[in-house]
Amino acid sequence: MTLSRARSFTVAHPGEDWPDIARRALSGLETDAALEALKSWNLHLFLRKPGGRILGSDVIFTEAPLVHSQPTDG
Amino acid sequence: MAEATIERAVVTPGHDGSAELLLTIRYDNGGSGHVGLDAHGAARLFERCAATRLEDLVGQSWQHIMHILEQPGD
Amino acid sequence: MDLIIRNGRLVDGTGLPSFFGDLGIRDGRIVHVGGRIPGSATREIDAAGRVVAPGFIDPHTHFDVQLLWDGQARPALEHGITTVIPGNCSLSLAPLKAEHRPRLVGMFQQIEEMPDAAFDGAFEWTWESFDGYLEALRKKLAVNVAPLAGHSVIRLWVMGDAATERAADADELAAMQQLLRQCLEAGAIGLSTSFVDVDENLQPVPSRYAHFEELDALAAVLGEYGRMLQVVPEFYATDITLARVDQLAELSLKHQIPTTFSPLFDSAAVPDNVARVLARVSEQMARGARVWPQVQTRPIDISFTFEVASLLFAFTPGWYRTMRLPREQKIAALANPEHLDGLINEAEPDGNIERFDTIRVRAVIRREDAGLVGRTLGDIAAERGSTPARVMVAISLANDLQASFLAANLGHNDPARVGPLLAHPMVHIGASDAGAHIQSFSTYGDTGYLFSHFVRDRQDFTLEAAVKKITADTARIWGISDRGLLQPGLAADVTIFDPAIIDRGDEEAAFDMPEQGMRYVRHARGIEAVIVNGELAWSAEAGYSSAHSGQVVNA
Repeated sequence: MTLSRARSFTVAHPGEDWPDIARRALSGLETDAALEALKSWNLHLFLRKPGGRILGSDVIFTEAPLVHSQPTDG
Repeated sequence: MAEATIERAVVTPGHDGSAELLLTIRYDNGGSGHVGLDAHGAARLFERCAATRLEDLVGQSWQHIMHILEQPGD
Repeated sequence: MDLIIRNGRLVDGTGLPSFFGDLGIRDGRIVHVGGRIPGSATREIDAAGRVVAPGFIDPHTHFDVQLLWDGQARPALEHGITTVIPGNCSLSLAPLKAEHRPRLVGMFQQIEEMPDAAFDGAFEWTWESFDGYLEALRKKLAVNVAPLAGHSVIRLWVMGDAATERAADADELAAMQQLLRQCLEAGAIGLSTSFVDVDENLQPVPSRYAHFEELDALAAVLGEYGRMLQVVPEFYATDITLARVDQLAELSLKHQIPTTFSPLFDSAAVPDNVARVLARVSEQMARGARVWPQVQTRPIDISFTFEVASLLFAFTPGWYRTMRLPREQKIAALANPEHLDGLINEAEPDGNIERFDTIRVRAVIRREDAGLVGRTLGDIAAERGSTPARVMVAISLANDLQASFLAANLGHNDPARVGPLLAHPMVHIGASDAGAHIQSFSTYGDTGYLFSHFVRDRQDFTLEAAVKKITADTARIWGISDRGLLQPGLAADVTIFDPAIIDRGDEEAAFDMPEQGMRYVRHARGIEAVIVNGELAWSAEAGYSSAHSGQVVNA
């Protein structure tokens, strides 16, 4: 059974920070641009204190929400 | 990248019985998603956007959401 | 025969049509179902006009602490709940080293809102290991308990302070695996973890620091026993929930374990949330994964005080602006007649704040206002010749802004959507959270609400289908093999109720926590008798009995 396409995500590897994830998951972008993109796609991780702290269990989106007829999540 | 903006702001009950602000963010690819703010975060977003009504938040940049994280607060 | 329940309408948990007859019980087991049982028994109950069903199973509770002084898990038992599953959301009372008790108490207080007295004198900490906790529990259980082991406490045991700092190394992973193995050997029904919970300092609980590799390693141990993994996902965040569904499916398929996530809410704010999540669950289930979303029956209420600028006031800009003022300025503004008149004019008579006059007073700090608790603002306003908004402000000021109020039924509240959702074959009815948030709202009576609202009033379910959902289905999902059905040979957990009146009672404040601590409860309506392992544990006629026939059960 094939799964339908879902918004891609990753999880942090032990010791990884945002630049590491940006380089790994968005290797085609300059690091700054990749970081900005990751921020905008992962507001749920920046709305905590301290903002942007990565926990091991976090879901980290590596693309914008897919286009649906109804909203998805940012 | 183009600005992701707040498309909708609604109040919704959280699991713990408090009211939360649920924002719909529209991204430049046409996809959209949700992010929730607690009472403190919502109050700071209202101040940041000089908003008096929920509707005033519509059209505001996602950067405002990021900005409230940089402000001191509880 | 020890007990015969005669002339009942037997709803046996299979979902098949009910039938009339007797139920016989001996030595804590069901020995006869249906027909007329000849002779007599030590005790007989006439159930004419009543439903006789398997005892209900509540899969998401936080009774871990309460069970130590209240083996009846009041008031769950009187609602027909005969088996509870505590230890959800990554938190259990074991395994726990003595030195970590204060940290766990903080986490439990954040979730359960238990008073300090509950941890200080209401019971004796006699254990560190999981089997030691179960030994303490077994002393006077009146309900059955199928406890989960909490990921956060397992992490805390192995890693100490580092549990909330970093990833586990290989040795720590192995130690956690071995500790979980010991818990499962002792009788844990599975492992719980959380992706959202925080401690009393609003910092993430230890399980949230675990990388996926750690969860995978622990799931591998669950796979050795075929036991459950329970998780708490992010709310209203559909894409994140879909990611969690995929993670759980991966673990389920790899380790051949059942998994469940709770809660899944319906929300007008995210109207496609449920449909998208269920579509993903269906895809994963079709692959053979077991990923059960738990859905609660009751709507969600909102509580608030004037201390914090509740978003309920965001609909009325003047109110919201006032609520965001610093505390002293806020008090001064609310006490200023001219300013207050402006607020009143904004709020009334149009009532921009939804259900303004139906908002209830939940708690006060002034003894002389105690009689207001539980009453609506509309009721109090009528008595005082005032308006609900003025009354709310007056009560808040009189109680130093610490009076709390409740606006009911503001979420997960569209029965036309929630009814079919609850009836969905891939939905696991649960997520009651019984025993948690005790000072915020009542978490008891969801099963009564299921029957009164969704079976009797709306007819989203047949009676038989609703019973199956909270008995046999729950037992099957969790791998509890000897409960959930009225079937010879199975444990005699039985709930007898009147289908015409079964319901949850009104929410009320009770002062039955240690040292008269307060919590909100709902008592049962229409339940006639509750039998646990063959013993009458509660009846409408005599209340709670002295029976302590509850057991620790597992898969």
